[in-house]
Amino acid sequence: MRSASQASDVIVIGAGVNGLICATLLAQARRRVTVVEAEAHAGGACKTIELVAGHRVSGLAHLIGPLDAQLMKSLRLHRFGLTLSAKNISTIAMSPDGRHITLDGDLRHTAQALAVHSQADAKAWSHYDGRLRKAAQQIERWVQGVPGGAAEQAKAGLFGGRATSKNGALDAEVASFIDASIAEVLDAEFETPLLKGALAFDAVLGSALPPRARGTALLAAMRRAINADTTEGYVHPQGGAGAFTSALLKAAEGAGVRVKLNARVRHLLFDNGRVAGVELQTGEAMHAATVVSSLDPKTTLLQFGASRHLPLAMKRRLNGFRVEGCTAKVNLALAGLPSFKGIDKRLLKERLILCTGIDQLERSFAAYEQGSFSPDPVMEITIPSTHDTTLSAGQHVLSAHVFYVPKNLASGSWDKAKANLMSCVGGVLRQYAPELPDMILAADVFVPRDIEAMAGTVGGHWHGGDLSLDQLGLMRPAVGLSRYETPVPGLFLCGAGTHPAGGITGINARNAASVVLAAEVRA
Amino acid sequence: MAVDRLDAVVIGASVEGLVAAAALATAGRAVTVVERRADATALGEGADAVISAGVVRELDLTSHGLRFAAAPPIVGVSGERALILWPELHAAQASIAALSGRDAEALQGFYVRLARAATPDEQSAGAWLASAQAEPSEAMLFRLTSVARLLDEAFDNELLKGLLAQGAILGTGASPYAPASGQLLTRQSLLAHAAPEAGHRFVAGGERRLRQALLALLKFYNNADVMFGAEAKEIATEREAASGVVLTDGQVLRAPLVISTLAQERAGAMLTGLKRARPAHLPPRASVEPAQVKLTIGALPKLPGVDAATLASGAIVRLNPSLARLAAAHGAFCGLSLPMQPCLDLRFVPRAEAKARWDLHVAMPYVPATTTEGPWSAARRDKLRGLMVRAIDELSAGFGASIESAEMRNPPEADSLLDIGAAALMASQAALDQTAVPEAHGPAALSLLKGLTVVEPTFYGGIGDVGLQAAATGSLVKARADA
Repeated sequence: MRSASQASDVIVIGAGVNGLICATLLAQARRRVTVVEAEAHAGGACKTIELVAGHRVSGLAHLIGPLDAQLMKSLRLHRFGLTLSAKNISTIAMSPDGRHITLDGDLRHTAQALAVHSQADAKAWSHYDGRLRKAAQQIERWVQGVPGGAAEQAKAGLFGGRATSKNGALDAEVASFIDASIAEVLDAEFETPLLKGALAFDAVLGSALPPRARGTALLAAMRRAINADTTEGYVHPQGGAGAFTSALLKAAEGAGVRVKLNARVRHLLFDNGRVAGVELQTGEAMHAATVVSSLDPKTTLLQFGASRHLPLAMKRRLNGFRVEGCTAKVNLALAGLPSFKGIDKRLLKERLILCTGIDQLERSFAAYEQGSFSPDPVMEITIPSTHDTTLSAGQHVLSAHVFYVPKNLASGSWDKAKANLMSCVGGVLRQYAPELPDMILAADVFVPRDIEAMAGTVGGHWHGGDLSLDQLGLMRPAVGLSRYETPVPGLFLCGAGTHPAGGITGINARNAASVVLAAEVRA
Repeated sequence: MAVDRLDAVVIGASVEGLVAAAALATAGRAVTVVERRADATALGEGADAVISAGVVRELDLTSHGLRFAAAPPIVGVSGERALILWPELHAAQASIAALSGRDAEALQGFYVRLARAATPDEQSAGAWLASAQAEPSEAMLFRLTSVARLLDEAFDNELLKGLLAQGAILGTGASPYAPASGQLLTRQSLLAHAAPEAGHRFVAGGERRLRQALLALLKFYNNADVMFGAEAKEIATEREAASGVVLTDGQVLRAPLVISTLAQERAGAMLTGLKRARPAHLPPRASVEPAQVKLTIGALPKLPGVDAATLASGAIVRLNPSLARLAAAHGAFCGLSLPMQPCLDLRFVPRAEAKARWDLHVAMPYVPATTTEGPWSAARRDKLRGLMVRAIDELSAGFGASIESAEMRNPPEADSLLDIGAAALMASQAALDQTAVPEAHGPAALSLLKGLTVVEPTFYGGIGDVGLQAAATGSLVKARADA
């Protein structure tokens, strides 16, 4: 017999960002919510780890956001201890010759920075920005809403029914923009390789897509559309990504959510084809009429006993969902702050992109396709210790997302290849900051295989699955599974493997919560 | 020539150029084709010609000697096994059943989906995605999804998946994993199996016979003319519109419509007399041709699981096809190098004039226009040919000894890159486009300037579609329908 105090209306599987946000929103809507987390710590891909004594760094995700302003308001994370050491973090396209380009969202600044490289590009910038803005505006509701229409959100009234009206038709110009490849769009607009490289890199980062893949311009527009409702852009929490999780955890508990750690789900419980709860590895059964999984869709639907409730075609489609990671994370403890050519030290708090052109990105992808990595990989780096002194007293930590790194090597093993990857990364860093490699005190290299284990997500993919045309919107994670619902009544998805994915945005969780509440209304 | 005023000039006697001319001629228009080469035999000959149903209908080519052949079996050989996709469904299923019973059952359903997906969907994939309210149509699903994912979802057997994937990507430069490449599966050769009623037909005798039929048609109409040995030097303009073609010998052919089968960059560069700037180049379309070699052989190779009769029947044979191998080869291609393991497409055609002699057409996808070692020299082309022959030799020892002569069609030598126009334009860096999928589903005849249409090769539909479309761009063909 369950005691009344133990009873839950909703069980959320996984205490990562999406799981915790979804749980909190449902608790705020007066549902009794329990979160079960397999690990001893909450956070999933959002944890702060110790690299070496005295140096802490965000384990995987190193920037948070862009977070929806309204969502942030309702979570009140600042009350639960969240302090930001940096917000509205800009992007800088770094150049080995020191002629970097700051992309801070200010048209005039960017045009000035571009003029150093090309007058034509400086002029073209506002045109490109305008196209991107227009595309982002037209797809914003699609990006932010539930695929196939956001009617549920209105019913649930999570945020007073704001983001609800139906998607308007796209005008022809936007339609052709988002159907194109990012390389094609950039080649038509600009001539500066560095600019094109950075913008293309930003569009495809994390997905196994080359810059000439159709639909990658859509990713640039999506990124912009996700940014639309944020006031703080990319942020860095004081204490790293783990501090964000801590605040989320407290907010969840503050809203009445029970969080059960060390509680690994063995399988789902069913009752007459409906989900009825979960059974833990310990054998403990937990009952609830609604189960929301923030785990990857493959694990949720194929490993926990739900597969016999799925049509065969859907199972095969879900199997085809590409979740193989292609990004590595490199964390470095540094003896001091290295100087980068041509850049003021104050700018080292920004997000730095090391990609000199679309060519370099393509070479890197070509190596990836052959089951290897480029000797000259592209990467995004942050040096969070420049604004967050809690991470590394007096010294520094650098965090890099290194791109395209295959999960499985065509030859050799990762145990040996990691050192080689690290020396390639060091080689690239040396081109920009010659003394940097000599300042390295300790280094961690996490390849997709490690990320799979650390974040507990099949494949170890940065976005929970490639952001390709066949894996977005109504197609994510598979046709028939895209609206956070599953064919099993009462079972929902809210993780990164759902639309729109990508980044720590909380949109997946917010939409899933609204769908859960709407489903209750229907039932 | 009976007429003194031309309606159109077509530059290049490629199949698409001849189809465009034929469509104009049958519409009663005065048209002249100018071809640099001395005669039609110098134009190369593809083993396969899958003519579009629309072209056969429109031009009534059967009255001009065109004959059709049955769709050939498609054979995949891997190790000691062979899988034969016979044109007849049950025979194909029986062959697949030896490898996977489930896949044999799945084939019919997949063919049904293919036939449905072949019906064009007007909307662009990205636009559909961002405004969709309902689940995608089969055509849209194929437009959004990669070849590899569609096959992975449909089948288990790697040989079958590789066999189908290689047919889809051949000549496109697209990786089977490229997003939105799925539509490539609806290309002619497969569709001829899946939906013979859709009407794309294999031409008996291949490209050579197709060209002969087109030339016969043009000869039949006295308002049409084909000038061999006539090289276009300039495209003349008047009032910012194309007005005709100037040949290298100084002869001027005036016409309000010029259709060029040359690479668009080349056609643009030939424009003279424009007051405004030359029109900006259109975004490059897929313009990748596989390396192609024609070998004359005195004995058919022994391939495991395939008998000589099947080979001799014009089978398309793919050696060790697999998604992984294609992806690796594509990776090498993007890195402007050659793959360690080539993916080869073989087609055996008996030689009419000699017994026990066959032409073996070998095509190898993912060969870059230029490599990190530089453009294709004669010596490097020989090396590439050696690589192709060795790959066949590995499966059928002694094959190399049966070769009597060899003729390489692609990649062209460095100095002839822009030689025979768009049809032979090789992969440039721009053409490494991962997704050689045209914006609109269908042929790519593009208007570069008023009065000037450029024909770009396309991988959709059948041969002739682009030419037909090009002929319609000048409103000349439509005029006949009105009259």
